[in-house]
Amino acid sequence: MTEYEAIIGLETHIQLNTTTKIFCSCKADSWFDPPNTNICPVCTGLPGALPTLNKAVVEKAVLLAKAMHANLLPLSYFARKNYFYPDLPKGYQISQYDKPIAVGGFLDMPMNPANGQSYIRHITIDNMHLEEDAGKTRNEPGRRLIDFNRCGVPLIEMVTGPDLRSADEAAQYLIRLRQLLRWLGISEADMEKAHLRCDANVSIRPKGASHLNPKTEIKNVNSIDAVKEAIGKEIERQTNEMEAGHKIETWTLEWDEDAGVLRKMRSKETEADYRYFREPDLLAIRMTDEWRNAILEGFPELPLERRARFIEDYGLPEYDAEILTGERSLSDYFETTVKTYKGDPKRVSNWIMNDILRMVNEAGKPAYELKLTPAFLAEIIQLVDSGTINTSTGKNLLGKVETSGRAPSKIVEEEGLAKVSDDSAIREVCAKIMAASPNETASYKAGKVTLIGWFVGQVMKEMRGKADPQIARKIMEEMLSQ
Amino acid sequence: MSLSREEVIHIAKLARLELSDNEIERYQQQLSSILEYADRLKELNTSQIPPTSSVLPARSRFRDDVPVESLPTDKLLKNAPQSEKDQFKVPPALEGPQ
Amino acid sequence: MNRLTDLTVTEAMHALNAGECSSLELTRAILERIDALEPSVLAFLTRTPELALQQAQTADEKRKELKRNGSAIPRLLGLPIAVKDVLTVEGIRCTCGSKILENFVPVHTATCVHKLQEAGVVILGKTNTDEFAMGSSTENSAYFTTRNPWDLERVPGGSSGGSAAAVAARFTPAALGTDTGGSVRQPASFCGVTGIKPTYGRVSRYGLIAYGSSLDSAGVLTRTVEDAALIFEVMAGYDPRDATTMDVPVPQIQLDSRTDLRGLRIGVPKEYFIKGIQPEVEQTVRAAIARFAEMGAEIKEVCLPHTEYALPVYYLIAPAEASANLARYDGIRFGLRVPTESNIEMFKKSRGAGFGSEVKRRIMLGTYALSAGYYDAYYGQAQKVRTLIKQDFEKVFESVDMIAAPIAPTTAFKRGVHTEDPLAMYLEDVFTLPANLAGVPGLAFCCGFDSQNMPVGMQLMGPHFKEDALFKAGHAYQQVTDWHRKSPTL
Repeated sequence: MTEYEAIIGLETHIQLNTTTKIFCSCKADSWFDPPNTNICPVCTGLPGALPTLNKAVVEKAVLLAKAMHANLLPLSYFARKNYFYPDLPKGYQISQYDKPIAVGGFLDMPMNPANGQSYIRHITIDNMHLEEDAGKTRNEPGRRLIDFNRCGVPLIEMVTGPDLRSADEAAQYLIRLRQLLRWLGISEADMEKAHLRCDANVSIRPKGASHLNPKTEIKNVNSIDAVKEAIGKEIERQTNEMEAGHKIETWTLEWDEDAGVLRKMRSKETEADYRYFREPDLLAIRMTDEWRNAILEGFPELPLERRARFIEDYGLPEYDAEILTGERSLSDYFETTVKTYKGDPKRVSNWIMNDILRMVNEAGKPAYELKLTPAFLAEIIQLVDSGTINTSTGKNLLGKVETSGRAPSKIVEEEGLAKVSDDSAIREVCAKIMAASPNETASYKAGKVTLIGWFVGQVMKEMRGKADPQIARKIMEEMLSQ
Repeated sequence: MSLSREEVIHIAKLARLELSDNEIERYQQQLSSILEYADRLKELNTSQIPPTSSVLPARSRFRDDVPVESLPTDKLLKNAPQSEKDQFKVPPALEGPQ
Repeated sequence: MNRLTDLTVTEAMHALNAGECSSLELTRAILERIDALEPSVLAFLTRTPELALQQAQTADEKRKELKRNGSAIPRLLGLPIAVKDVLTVEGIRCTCGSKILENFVPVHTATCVHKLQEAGVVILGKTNTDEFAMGSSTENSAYFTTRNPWDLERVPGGSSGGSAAAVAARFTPAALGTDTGGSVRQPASFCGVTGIKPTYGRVSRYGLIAYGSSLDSAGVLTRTVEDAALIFEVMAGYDPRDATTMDVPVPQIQLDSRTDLRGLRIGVPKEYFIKGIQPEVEQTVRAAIARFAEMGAEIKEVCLPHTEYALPVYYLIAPAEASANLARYDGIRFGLRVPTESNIEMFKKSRGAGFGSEVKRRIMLGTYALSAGYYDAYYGQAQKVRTLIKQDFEKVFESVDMIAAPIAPTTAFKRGVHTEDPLAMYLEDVFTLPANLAGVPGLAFCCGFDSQNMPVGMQLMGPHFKEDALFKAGHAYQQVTDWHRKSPTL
């Protein structure tokens, strides 16, 4: 049986999170709005209306181009892509064709397969271009209803080369892309809300071959899982076909989420003839060095770069580095804490992965909105390090600082949370507990040494958590053995 | 440049224009003669000439990312041949029976 | 004082401001004349007499109030005008001369019209046009063909035929038009009136229902150059809603009675005086050029070598752009819908039924010119030759200040003469197309009459944004001639 490899390319449409649409001043986001309430003559293609380009759209595209190492063209043009469809009001889509905003580029994607060696998949980018979204059609019995709210929403279409080799890699690409888009602040990239849409081109060939076989196109996959499942199924189907000696036809396939199957879409007799020509209503985008540099001022370190740096410079395990570069706000938070704390970054990592992450998720807000600032967190860790408070007090302090916004040291002072390591105070309480618990004392002395935990717990309770638990245990053991 | 009948039918399809047989024949003749006239452009050597993308000097024109109030829904639907639930109503099928 | 309906824009504003007549009186007089004579001329597709009277009344009241306060009076307060039916006016039906928009009522007003409304104009109605501005005679209007007031058997020219006829017939002192391939200048010539096609990018196209996006230019038809300059000043200007408008200041055009044109260099392009031009047209235009020489202008022969290619270039670029611009007429959001079982059928039938034959012809021509395999040879090549045409003008303007030329090879022709042969109709446009391709401004005015008493027009074309020089020269000509004072007997 021949071994095949899959050749996969992805076309993604990224909805930008600008305030207004690409060619008019309607709001870009109308997800929750009633139909046809976010429209104007321009985005509904009324006679006499003209498009005007939103500057922020270009700026966000420049950020993505830089992140993908793409070349920004000094002059790029809009073009009319002509076709008829009920949700396309002008009968053409304003897109880009021969001179898009950026060409080329790549993403080096780390892959860590469960069973196998880690490797980097180098994914090339063919181009990225700007375009406007179309309206939405709702299918009802006997008719279709059209809503133009979404018409004119800014999109970047980014096309990869046929560089992905598995459904897993395809899913991973989308995960990385989503992470990057959110990191740069250019898209919410939520596939379920169609902020990120994906079509996949799939073909297979015998391993080691260099030619490309006919490919099929998969559409209507609305989640990363669906992309993975659909591609997986298609690779399987093509493999079976090839094994049976059949040729692969260049079908367009639609994913049926409910049934979990791919269906052949109506075949188009010929390639659509879009009759592209330069958009006469818009001027060329002149990407001067000046403007590009202004946009890229303050361009952040990218998640994969930072991930590598955390592993290299901070000696963090890959697992930690992945979580600490998952989302920009938390990542920056971590780094600021490390710089303030000046101690072992792993220690900070643990606190963040265990506690801050949970806090941020529960509160539903980004890390920079926490009142528990990186400086405060560093302080808390230092307080625990120095023995001033014990770990559980430290954990409780997190919540107290977040609620009050006050410095940890202040709260420790005011509430008297400092750890009690003083022998005599602990001794006193241990004696008190022993005296008040004759049964447990007897059981312990009779050999039930596991009760030490209960005793220590009682001491801690009595001392409102302030005792150093190690010392309390030592003293308790000592006293119980007398 | 002479157009064949098939070409005329193909163009009419691309342009979504329903034409009668009479019209197809007439347009075939007329378009052919116009395109023949247009063929004289081939006489000119334009290999070093850029296409005109704008008659005016190069400049940039952008709009700030500031929202403006939407057109009221009823205004948009005012001219609609058919509408329902504030949306435009169209037939359910994309293509007719083939 | 002249009859109210004879007043030019300048005279009307003077009379209104001096209190010699009210806007209501002026508007009533005009409406009465229209009532009486419109059935013979058919200049209007939609008339708005009640609205006009209301607006006139409001204008009169406003003028009184402003005078009381000593505030500035808007430049065109109370002036009746007509608007070509491809420019939108909110609330007034806009058909573009097509059945596909028979009942379409726009929800926004074109910027250039809005500017005039802010200056106080009164709107009399929408004038007839070739369908979607495609044509040179108004015979392509889906409704009716406007008559030329000078000879009711002849066409008024096109596509702004309704506007030109309305001005010539004294139905309005001014009427807005649009010029994509000559559609202001040619009807101005055929109807013996003045018309300005501004520089492309000088007047906003927002609200100008698109035909050829890189060529369309909104302009105005009037009886005098002075009037055209005034209306031009008000309607021109950068519009943030139209990215193709140029951010250059609109000049304040000072016209005086001086007729000394010494220092002015006028070029006469030999390519515009070709075989096939009606001899009387050539004679009349040359006589007018001689008049300019008498006023002191230096006349030089110049070359615009690629002139002969303007026609094929235009008839590839304009239809290509139109094929896309007219794709929005699909029966979904507005316009004619033929009910069917499927969307594709709906598009085909609605468009098939709603568009006239010239429009369909141009859509198909444009679709073909852009289609796979043909783009380079047709549309691509046309855009390159367009660059050559534009460069011709730039070169010539290095040695002259403006170009004088005929507007059409003939005077107004009889209805029906060209309707069987589209190419013959296209050949009417040879002298006007180059200005649109190069984007340069063109001022048209009457320079005489032929032996059938049909008007002959000439045009002055200048460098981009130099309309003021054209107005000055044209105004000087109208100081020493009185062609513009002649009017047809209806």
